[in-house]
Formats: sequence, structure tokens, C-alpha cells
Amino acid sequence: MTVSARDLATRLLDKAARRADAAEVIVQQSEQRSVRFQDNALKSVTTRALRGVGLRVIRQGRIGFSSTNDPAAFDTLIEQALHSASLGQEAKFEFPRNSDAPEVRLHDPAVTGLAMERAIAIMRQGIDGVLAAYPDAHCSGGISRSLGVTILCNSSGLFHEEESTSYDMGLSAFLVRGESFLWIDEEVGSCRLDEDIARLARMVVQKARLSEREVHPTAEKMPVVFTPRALDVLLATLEANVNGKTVQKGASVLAERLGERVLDERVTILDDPLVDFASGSYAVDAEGLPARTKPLFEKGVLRTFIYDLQTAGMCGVQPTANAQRGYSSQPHPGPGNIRLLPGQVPYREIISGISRGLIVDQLLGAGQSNVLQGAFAVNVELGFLVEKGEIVGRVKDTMLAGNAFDAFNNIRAISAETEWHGDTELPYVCFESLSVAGRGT
Amino acid sequence: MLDIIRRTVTWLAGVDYVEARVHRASGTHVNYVGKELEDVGETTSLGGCVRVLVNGAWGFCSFNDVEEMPRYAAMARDQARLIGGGTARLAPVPPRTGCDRIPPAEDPAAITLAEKEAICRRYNDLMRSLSHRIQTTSVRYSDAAGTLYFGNSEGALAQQEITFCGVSLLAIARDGANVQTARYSVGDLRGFQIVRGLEEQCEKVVRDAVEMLSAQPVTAGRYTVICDPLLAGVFAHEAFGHLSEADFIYEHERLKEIMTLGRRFGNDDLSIVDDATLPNEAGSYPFDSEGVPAQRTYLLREGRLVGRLHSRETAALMGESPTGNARAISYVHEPLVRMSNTFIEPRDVSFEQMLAETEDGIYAVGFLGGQTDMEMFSFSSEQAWRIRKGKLCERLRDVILTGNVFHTLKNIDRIGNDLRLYGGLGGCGKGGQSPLRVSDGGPHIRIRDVVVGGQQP
Repeated sequence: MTVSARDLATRLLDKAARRADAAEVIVQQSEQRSVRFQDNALKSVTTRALRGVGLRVIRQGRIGFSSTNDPAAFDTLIEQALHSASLGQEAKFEFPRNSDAPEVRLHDPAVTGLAMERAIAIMRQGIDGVLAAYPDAHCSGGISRSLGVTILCNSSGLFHEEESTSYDMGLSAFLVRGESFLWIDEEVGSCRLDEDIARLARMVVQKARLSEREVHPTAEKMPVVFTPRALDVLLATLEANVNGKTVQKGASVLAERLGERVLDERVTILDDPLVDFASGSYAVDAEGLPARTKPLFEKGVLRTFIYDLQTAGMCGVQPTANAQRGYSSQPHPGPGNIRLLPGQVPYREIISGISRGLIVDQLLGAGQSNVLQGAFAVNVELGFLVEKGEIVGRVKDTMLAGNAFDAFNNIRAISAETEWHGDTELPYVCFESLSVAGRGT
Repeated sequence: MLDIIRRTVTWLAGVDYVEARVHRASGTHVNYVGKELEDVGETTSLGGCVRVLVNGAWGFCSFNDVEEMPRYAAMARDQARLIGGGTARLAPVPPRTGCDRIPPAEDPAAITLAEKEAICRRYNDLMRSLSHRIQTTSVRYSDAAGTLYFGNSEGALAQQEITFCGVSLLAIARDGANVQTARYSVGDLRGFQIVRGLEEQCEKVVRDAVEMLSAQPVTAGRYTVICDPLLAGVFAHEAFGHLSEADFIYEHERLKEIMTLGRRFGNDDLSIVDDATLPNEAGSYPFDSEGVPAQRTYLLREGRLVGRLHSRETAALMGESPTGNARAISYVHEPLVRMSNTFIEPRDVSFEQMLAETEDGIYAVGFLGGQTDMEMFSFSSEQAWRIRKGKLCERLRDVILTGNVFHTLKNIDRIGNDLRLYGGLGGCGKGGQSPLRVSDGGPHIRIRDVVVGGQQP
């Protein structure tokens, strides 16, 4: 398959380059196999064998783009890209040449070697682990593993081929108590095989135990600990505002603040695409520039925005090798892996120091407030009330509201521990005082 | 295409059931963000999938290389066998045959890309020219003409052609760190004419975004809330529709009890309907991804649960009739139980009367985003006003409604007479499949005692 994808890319590039001033071809091909469980039973085994081609051209200084996955439509693809260029945006960049790519490992042969029979056995073990503690739980989830090949080439001579694996394993439990629903889901995802479902099952059971008692906070302000997975909700604001596209459109509230301290000085956030086997890693970005690690915020100071070629060209700055894309769309800027560096305080110590506060783990309704401005107001899907340093129960019917910038300037503690979730590595962060609204009296 | 489907589904032996789909689509898009035309062009796609049932268990393959369908069918069969048995079975339906087409009045394929671009540019320029407070704008247009070819081992062999088109307008106004968004989106199966003549909507979007700059942040608390038809529709879809999707409940005894037919969920005047047969709405179709004809299904009628949405599998397992709601967003995915056009039926109260009867509350209009986990919901209105003594007063911002679905349904105490359905460029997401074209709507409704998140008093 790899050979034919390479042939396809180079043949299309040759043809397109003859008709346009410059051209770039991206071919993405993947074979994904997955097993899916629902309500404690194996539901389906699935294969997805997909391939698509995107063609970007520059003609008379303008960008054109088209995509297809219909092999019969490859000739039309060139016509469509050229037609798009007749109306398209003025190009503010040239396609890059080959350059030395940094080393980063994205391929684990154990992933493609995983037999579906074995995947089924792993999932059964995890579900059995949850059912042993909660026989009435309805567990769902699955394992999917895939092998992907991306070929990127352009008329400046760039040719990059990358083979990567990806592995995702998820386990969720759904429990009904009266008319109260409890969803707990745990997952891992990276380029590497991870058969440790027992860990996910233990986490599900532990959270279910902590949820056995329901408590109802009133409307009050209190310290709130965000677990690494919940922290995404607040980081979305920071990521959106450092995105070069947001900056270029004049919508970033951080646009004029490079070099200024905008967050608590304990906060250092890296964009790091060079972590072996992490799901946000890449050796070259989606336009062929070599990846590099950089601080977005360093000790609270805003250090850089992230760009693809066109956005950097429009802003008159250097690109940062942050182009991302699927074959069917033009590149846009995006981070690799986001890493918030750990603090000094052990997580246990943060909790034991709280006289009355919340721990939030799963949040509902993120992204519907004004994300750029920092506003957030979310329903706590899974969260726990802490009194005198101890978890006393699961909070229900509870909203959490505030502003991400205010929160990141009002930090009580950052934990010494971090956790990877997909393309983020984050600590537990305790914010000093957030608005909590519950039905309690 | 129908030929390779027929050959595959009749050739594959040793299975209880096999179905194949091929989706062919082509579409154009125009995408203005700020003053730049970010993207304009045309794309095509083609792909297929085969789903196989062996001894109550499913195997599924999706692929782009449609000529290889028989090989993938055999792979799907082997995967189904790997499971070694399951509970899945299918409610009987007559095999679908023939060709259906939902024709658009004005076919987007007959309009040049240059004209589509010019219309978007005109809307974008207009929005940008109306106020110096406008930080950025966006105009997104897209159309897609899709043909679905379907066949199964029961003799179904059918095709349907559907053309979707729509445009969304967005304006972001900014004053220092205060950034406010307003938008308008239209999208359904009616045709290109719905994209024309939206100058007034451009003006309204800009006016709304700018006026929101001076809105006051809402004070957190519990309020009586009047929802406009769009937000009422979101509530019908998010807060009740998803609970009615039978794949969520069919293997869960406790949920089956909660969702027992006949149980009361709301007041006598509350009825919620899902109807894929409405002409040319965003969520309409002749038949679903299992070849089952679209139909109208009452979910709630006069406050009581009377029906739910089914695939052939969930219908068989619950002993109910299929409703034609098994939908896949493309060839890449298996069908899931999904909604189509979901709405609250109108009653006889006018908005003016509802407002006049509301001593103290919030009028919430439009929808920025939201989520539900079936029991709890959380969604934010795009605009809002404080209601005092039956009159609309100052504008509010950051209004997020949240609560428990079951309590909230019972707290709907007024249902208006002004039903509207909203499609648009967005759609519904479930099980990794998004966006699925749907519409939802309702009349104005009033809900008592809603938790509104925001600043503490």
C-alpha cells in the first residue's frame, strides 16, 4: 500500500506542477481495526481502510485547494484546485524545501501486531474488573489500533513520508441510582501499545466509590482543584488566544502582550511536538517544516504565538512549524503536545489543605461560553466535595463559573504529579476561589 | 454502484445478514474569515462499507476502494465470526427498492463557484462595513450533493439523492477584553434560494453583537426562563431527544423502567415529535442507512412518553416497530440511532401573552453551544434579556442554562403558538459521528425554576 501511495503522490505532483506555478500534495492512508463493547458485551469488530488526497496549488500568486478519495477523480482534482486558485487567497509563502527533521518516535510495531482476539481479551478483563465491584454497572468502550502513512511532497523538492501507529483504549461505566446517572470514563491514547486496562478499571471503581454519597453545595465561592483531564476546559482559552490565526484576525485578547506576564509566574506551558509516542507529536509539521519545542508561556510570561506558513506570512513573522491538517482541508495552526510543567506540592497535600472546596474531573458544556475572553460556565458532570481535607461525596446539579485568565492568576497550588491524556501532559491545579452554584440550601 | 452492491450481498455466504452502502458526494464551499477568503473550492468523495451479521454479532468494514467491496465483505464476515455470537437481530421491514430524490428548488450545482463567492463576499463586506466595533466576521457557505446506494441480503437495492446547502453568518464585536459573538445560520434541502437575500440578517447579526457589548453579566441563580423557538428546539433535541434514542436504553433494565411508555414527563400540553418526512428540512430523508423509510414518531404526547427512536436492531430487541432512525454520517461509520427533525408541538399562547404573564425572569434567545449527559444538560443562549413586570428590560450576557432533564421538562408551564424549525450548517454529534444534518425547533416555551450559571450575587 505504501508504494502505491508514494506513486500516487509523485504522479499527481508532477501533473499539477506542470499546470500551476507551485504545487503540494498530501496523501493520507490508514488502516484502523477496532473492537467495541457496549453494555458489557462485545458489540462489533471493525476495520476502516481509508485513503485521501489533498492538492494545494499556487497560480498567479493565489492559493487553490481541492481534495478527493475517488481514484477516478484525480484528473478533475487538478482542474478543481486550479479553479479554486482563480478565486483564492493571495499566497504569502513559498512551499518549503527538504530540511533535516528531528528524531521523534511515532511507530510502535507492537500496536499493529495486536491481534483482535487479544484486544477482546483485554477489554473483557477491564469490564470484569469493574463488574466485580459494581455488578449493575453497564460498561462500554473499546480498543482501536491503526497504522497511518502520510506522504507530503511539493514542487520545491520536499518529500516527506511518515509511518505512525496509534492506539486508543477506553473503558466507561454507567450507573443509575434512583434517577441519578453516573458516567465515568477513562481512556488512554498514544502511538504505543498499552495493555494495562486494570489501571483504567481501578480508576473507574475508585471514582464510583467516591460517588456513592451525593452532596449538594450551595451558591458559594471555594477553592477548586482541576484534575489533568478537566484542566483542558481552561487551557482551551489559552490555546485559542495564542493561535496565530486568532491573532491574525485581531481576535486574540493576548495580541499585544508578547513578553508580558499574563499568568501566575508558576505557570510554564510548552508546545512540545517532540515527545516520543505522544499522540500530538510530529517530526515535520503538515507543511514539511521541522518540528520544535517552545514555551508558549514561561513563568507566566507570554512567549510566542503559533503559526502555519500562510498565517505567518500574513502577520509578517517566521512560521513556527505548527501547521496541522487532514488531507481534505488546508493547513491551520495548532499545537503539538501541550505540557503544563509540574509544581512542587504533592497532590495529597493540596487536598488535605482544603477546608471546603471541590475537585472537578468531568465537565459538561465546555466551550459554549466566550472562550477567547476566558469565560467558562460548566456543569460538573463528575466532581467531589472536599471538607477538612477529605472527599465527602459527589456533587450533583452543580455549576462552576469563572474566567480562565483570572483563575490562572489566582492559583493556590500546582501539583508535583502530572498525567498524560492524549496530547496533553498536565498537573492537578488548585485555583483559589471560583463560583460554585448548586441546589443545596 | 448498485451492481457491485448486488454482487457482494448475494455472493457472501455463511452470514445471517449483510448490507452494503456506497456514498458518492461532491460539494463546494466558500469560507470568509475577517477580510480574507480563507478557502474556496470543490471537493469530491467516494467510499463504501459493508456490515455483516453472524450469529447475533456484527462485523463492519469501511473503505475507499469500492471495487474491492467483496474482499472487505469477507473481512467483515470474519470479524463477525471472531465475536462468537451475540444478541443482535433485526426487526423485519420490506426490502427497499427504487430511486428517491429530494430535488432542491434552485440547484446549487447550477450556480458557478464565482457567484457563490460573490454572494459570500457581499455579505462579509456588508457586515464589516456596519460598525467599527466589529472585530471580525465570518461567512461560510457549503453545499453537498450526495448519492447513497444501499443494498442488503433481503433483496433491498435502492438509491437516494439529497442536496444540502446553507450559509452561516457570524460577527464578533469587541471592546477591550469584552468580546461578543452573534450569528445566523441557515441550511436545509430547499435549495440555493435560501442563501440569497440575507442582507437583513447580516445587519441583525452585527447589531446583536454590538449591543451585546453593553449587556450585563447575568447574576447566577434560579429563574423563570422564556426560550425562543431555536433554544426550545435545542432543549427538545438535547435534553429529551437523546434519551429517546433506543440504543441508549435497550440493554439497560433500570433505564427501561425510567423510560417506560406511558410514563408522565411533562404537563398535558407538552408533545415532542421526531419527523424525517417533513419536506426539505435539514434532517429529512426518504430512507435511513438501513433502508427503512422515514416516518413521523411522537416521543412525548400530552406529557406522556409514547414512543422512541429505533434502528432495526433496537426495535427487534425491545419488541417495538422500527422508526427509520438508523443513520450514519458517511460510509466510514456504522449506523446509530439518531434524530431527524425534532420539535415541540405548538399550542395557543402567543409570545406577547407569555411575556406579559412573566413577572420576573430571563428571555433567552439563540444557542451558542451545549451538552447533555442525558440526565444533566447545560446550554448557553446567544442573547438574553431580563424580564421585569412582563416587559423586556436590559440585555444580559453569559447566560448558561443548566439542570436536570426530568425536573426541567416538568417545569415547562407555557407553550407558544409560533413553531419554527432550524437546520443550519452545524449538526448533531454522537458516538464519534459529527456533524449529522438535523433540524430542531419549537414555539416559544416558558420554564420555571431553571439554574442559570454566572457571577455570584
